[in-house]
Amino acid sequence: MSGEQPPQDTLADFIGSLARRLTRRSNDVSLPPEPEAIARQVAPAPDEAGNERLVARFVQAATDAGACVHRAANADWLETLAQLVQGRRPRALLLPPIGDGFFDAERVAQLARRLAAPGLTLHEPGAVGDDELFAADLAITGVAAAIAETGTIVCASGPHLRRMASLAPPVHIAVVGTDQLLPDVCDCFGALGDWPQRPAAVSLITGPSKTADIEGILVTGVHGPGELHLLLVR
Amino acid sequence: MTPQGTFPQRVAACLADGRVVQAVHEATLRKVEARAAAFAQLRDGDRLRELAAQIRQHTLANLPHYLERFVAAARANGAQVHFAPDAAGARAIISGIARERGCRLAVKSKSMTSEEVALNDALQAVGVRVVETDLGEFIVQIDHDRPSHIVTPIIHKNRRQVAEALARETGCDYTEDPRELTLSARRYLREIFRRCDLGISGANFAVAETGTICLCTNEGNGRMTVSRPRVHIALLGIEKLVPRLRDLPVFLKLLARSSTGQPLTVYTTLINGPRRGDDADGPAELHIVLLDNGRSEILTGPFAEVLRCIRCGACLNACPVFRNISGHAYGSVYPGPIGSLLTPLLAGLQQHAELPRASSLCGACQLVCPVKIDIPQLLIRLRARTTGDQPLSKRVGMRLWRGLVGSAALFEWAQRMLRRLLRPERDGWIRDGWGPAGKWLEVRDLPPIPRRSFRRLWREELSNER
Repeated sequence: MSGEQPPQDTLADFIGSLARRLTRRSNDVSLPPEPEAIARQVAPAPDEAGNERLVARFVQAATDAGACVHRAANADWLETLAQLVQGRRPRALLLPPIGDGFFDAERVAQLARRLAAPGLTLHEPGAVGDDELFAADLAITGVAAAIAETGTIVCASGPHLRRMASLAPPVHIAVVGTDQLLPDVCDCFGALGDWPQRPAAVSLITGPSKTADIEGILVTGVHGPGELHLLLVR
Repeated sequence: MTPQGTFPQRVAACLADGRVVQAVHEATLRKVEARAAAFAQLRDGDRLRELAAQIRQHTLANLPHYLERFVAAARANGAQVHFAPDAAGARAIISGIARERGCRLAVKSKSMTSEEVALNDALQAVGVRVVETDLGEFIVQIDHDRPSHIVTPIIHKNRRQVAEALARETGCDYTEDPRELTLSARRYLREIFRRCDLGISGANFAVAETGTICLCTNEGNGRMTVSRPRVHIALLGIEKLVPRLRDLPVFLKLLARSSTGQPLTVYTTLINGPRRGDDADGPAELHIVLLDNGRSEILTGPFAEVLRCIRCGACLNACPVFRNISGHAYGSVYPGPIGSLLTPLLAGLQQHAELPRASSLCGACQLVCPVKIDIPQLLIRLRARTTGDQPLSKRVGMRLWRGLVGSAALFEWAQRMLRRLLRPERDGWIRDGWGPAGKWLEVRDLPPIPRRSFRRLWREELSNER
């Protein structure tokens, strides 16, 4: 191992020598300036009617991907969510952190009060240890954004935002405001911002975890959640 | 187990296993249909492929520039970036990091590049236990097998084999139900995820502009691998770059559709660096290892186009040869049409001269390639590089062939003579012949020859019906 150059030098040397070897290539093409013009599948929605179209597309795409989509008006999101949760009969669940998309401080507090019940442990995601994390039956989160084209939710890492919340428990319930809907995958990267504002990890989640490795038979809930519920709130 | 021997011997062994042939048929045909359905839904799928081809071609032609940008951006994000000139270099760097950080238990997300450099053994050698966590790769690992497809590694195994392997390794109750088997694997691997201290992944794409790496997975093990352990190492070939974040959607939309017919993989994860100071979780260290291992050689030669590949596996699924002989016959990490190019180019043309010839040049691969690699053309060019090494009989035979197809009368005469050189078996199929015909038929079977050639048929009947 002695006599090895530090990583910076070997990399720079390699790039330099590659540049010299490539100078006489004539198969260069120009970089298309606007790939979205061709890649975009779903147009932006300028108005109410357009937004309805996005919602319909999101519901269809998410359902096709294996997620369960539920709808609620702003007035009754809490009741709908509570019933959804109680229907799964969890013994322990992860609450959403404050500031996670739909969930501001007031909504988190409302949710905690509404869900409180004997025999049910509600965990604050920031304070939960590994044992509780892996033993939780269900996690409720907000989302950073959602994509109509593919029925995808976007979850980012950050302070209090546990990556594992949308990954470890077997059931994941994500609450999405219809105003968080982006039309197309092309739109979601602009929303991420520049480093250091850009999160360390951003996951686009489309449906429950799945595999068809064994004889091509589809099985959900391999390592990630087997059930993904999306509650769409107007 | 994996067949050994020469290419014709491996092919014969794979063909002999009727169950595997059927399984691979069903699986690949299903994927072909799924891909077609997914592309039919795309607005302008062909233009999207053209766009992807253009972006990749541009990136490859300007790779030094984009590599420089990527390295600078990734380091500014807090990632450590290393360069591995070859497989040994990659093994040394990664096992070095593992040893220095005191890692004992590594989880791996599926990475064909890590198979290419034979990483696992090197890590075991420094006392790191390595556990594959992709379900198919986990089964391959515990069964001491090799993957037979770059996307669906155990396409060649049936549930009974999976059940035996799992029961043996994990001590779980024996079951052949795929759902129960998956749950057993999930339970076992969760314990590993809880205790691991090193995560090793590949990357599907790397964005030069932002220093981002992108992983496209379906099971969730990829996300766990890059989130749970305190150290994350990503190994990727230098060709995986795309210029800007806005280019990524082009490839994301093509990758899963080409691979399995989904609009996106279940989890598309963008990693922009190790955890930030106030993040709730994530690795404290991110190491990105950029691998050459022959790619720069390809890049500066006439086969550079092959580096556009995004490893979707569509060409494998479309290829009638792959469908019959399946991955193990190729004897390499990269099978199928793209493998017939990559393996000789990366690992040596002399050792793998038969692979570019394992093709009828039907072009099915080219029709489905999301980055429009002209695989048949490249196969021909690669073959041309080894014609000098072909046996004399074959070279003479090819010259005769050239003469024959240049003349209609000669061709027809040759057709009549050829019937005498071929020996049909009782069912009419021709599997053997005299002289050069016999050699050619060693890896080919011809269906029964009709009594009349098409020319005769045309002359005697069809031309009158016009």
